[in-house]
Amino acid sequence: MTRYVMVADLRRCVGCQTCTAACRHTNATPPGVQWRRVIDVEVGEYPDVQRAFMPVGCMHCADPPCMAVCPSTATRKRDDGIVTIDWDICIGCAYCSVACPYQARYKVDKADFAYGADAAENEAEQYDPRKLGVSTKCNFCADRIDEGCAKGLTPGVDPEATPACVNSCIADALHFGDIEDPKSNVSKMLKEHKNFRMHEDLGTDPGFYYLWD
Amino acid sequence: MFSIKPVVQDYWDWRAAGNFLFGGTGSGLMIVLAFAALLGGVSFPLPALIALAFVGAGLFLVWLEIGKPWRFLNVFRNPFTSWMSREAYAAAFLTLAGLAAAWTGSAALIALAAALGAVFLFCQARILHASRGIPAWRDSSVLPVIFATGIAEGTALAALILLAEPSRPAWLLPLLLIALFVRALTFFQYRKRMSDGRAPVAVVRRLARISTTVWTLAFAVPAALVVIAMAVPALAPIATAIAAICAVFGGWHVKFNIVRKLAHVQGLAIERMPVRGTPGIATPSAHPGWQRD
Repeated sequence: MTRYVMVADLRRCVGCQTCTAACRHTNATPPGVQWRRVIDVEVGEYPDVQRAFMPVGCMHCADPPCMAVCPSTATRKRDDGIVTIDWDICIGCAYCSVACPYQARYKVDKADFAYGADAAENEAEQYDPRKLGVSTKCNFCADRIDEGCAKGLTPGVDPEATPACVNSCIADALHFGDIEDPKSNVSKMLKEHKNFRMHEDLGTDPGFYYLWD
Repeated sequence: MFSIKPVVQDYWDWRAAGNFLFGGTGSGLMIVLAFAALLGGVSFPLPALIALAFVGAGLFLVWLEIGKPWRFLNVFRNPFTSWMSREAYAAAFLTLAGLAAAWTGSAALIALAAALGAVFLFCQARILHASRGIPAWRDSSVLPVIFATGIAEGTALAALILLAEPSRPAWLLPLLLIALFVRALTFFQYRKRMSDGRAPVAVVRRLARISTTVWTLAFAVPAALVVIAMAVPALAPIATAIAAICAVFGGWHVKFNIVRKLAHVQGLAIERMPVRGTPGIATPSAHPGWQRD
């Protein structure tokens, strides 16, 4: 079995938002829709303050609450653990959005572009009216993974088979790979470093790990 | 909408709330009506249609909210795990049974419609309970609140509709009193659970703010009026009518708050801050908007 997960090294992330920009460019998401975000967290009170940057988005949970509640079966989980949405089936009820504890889902009802009424080149290329009025979210660049795998490439190792946000990370903070493969990059990292997952207590078994030591 | 701290969700607006308001009232009415018909011989065709109209109005509001309204039939695709699909099935069968009962006047059919109304009401409660992203919904204490207020609203509406009905069962007002009491009990139990760290600070504060209104509008005033109606027959019609209206609006107030005002998202959290320096020290978690900050 394969389960693709993402690993973010919080010690390395500098909060540059390049991953956010890469995701937006690759998927041509409209303004306000950021499938990959980096949040800025401050803890403590002056002068004892710590700050960290934390990439967030769809956690591709093993037990995704969004999938169980979906009345149309539009939200599904692939055999490799990636949670997807079928835009041709989704009714846009947003039940998945209230079920997701990570605010990972978006719904946009009308076309909107980054620079006004006219679509930029990448937006025009990627424009898909099927995305209007339905739920959208990060899909770990599943198309890239599928095409890369078809060429015999390894997701997380070969850029052509790796999500755009991971490829773009300037600090080498984002990593992607198969957690079921003990020899994979992510398996080794998780073995060597202390890590956590967000809201694990909610029983979602998220597929996004954060290294902190 | 995106926030690290828990903020009120804006995925479901007043239209979605309308489904819980009207759906609960309609299904509650159908349940009480069946008892009134079976035990008291009350004529039910018109009240049954009113109950269906409430349920239909709620579903219509939801239909207005969904992004792809002409794909609404897809809502039936996942009864295996989705309470929204199950609610849709319950609504469809409830409508069929309710219409058939109103058409034929059959006691068996109104009983069937009542059973389906109970299923519909239960589905509504479970829809909220299954929303793991909203702390004020996912707690099990929300289930009795939604169910109890639906029954209370239905009883109140039945008392109002059957006001001029000579065969109105004598147990209707005592039942309303009990339903009001149970609803208040479930609400304050819900508030207690939320205050025990199961919800963000903002939810707890909001619950504290609305509690007086809930106590007054949803319990004290209608309960006092019901007692007056039972004790002073001359005042019964007016007292019953005002009590019923208060009880229905009180229930809607509770549900509107749960769906729209208390519906803060989980918010994001960092379990451990990253280690900085050598030797590094990592401070523990940050969960903005929750009590453990």
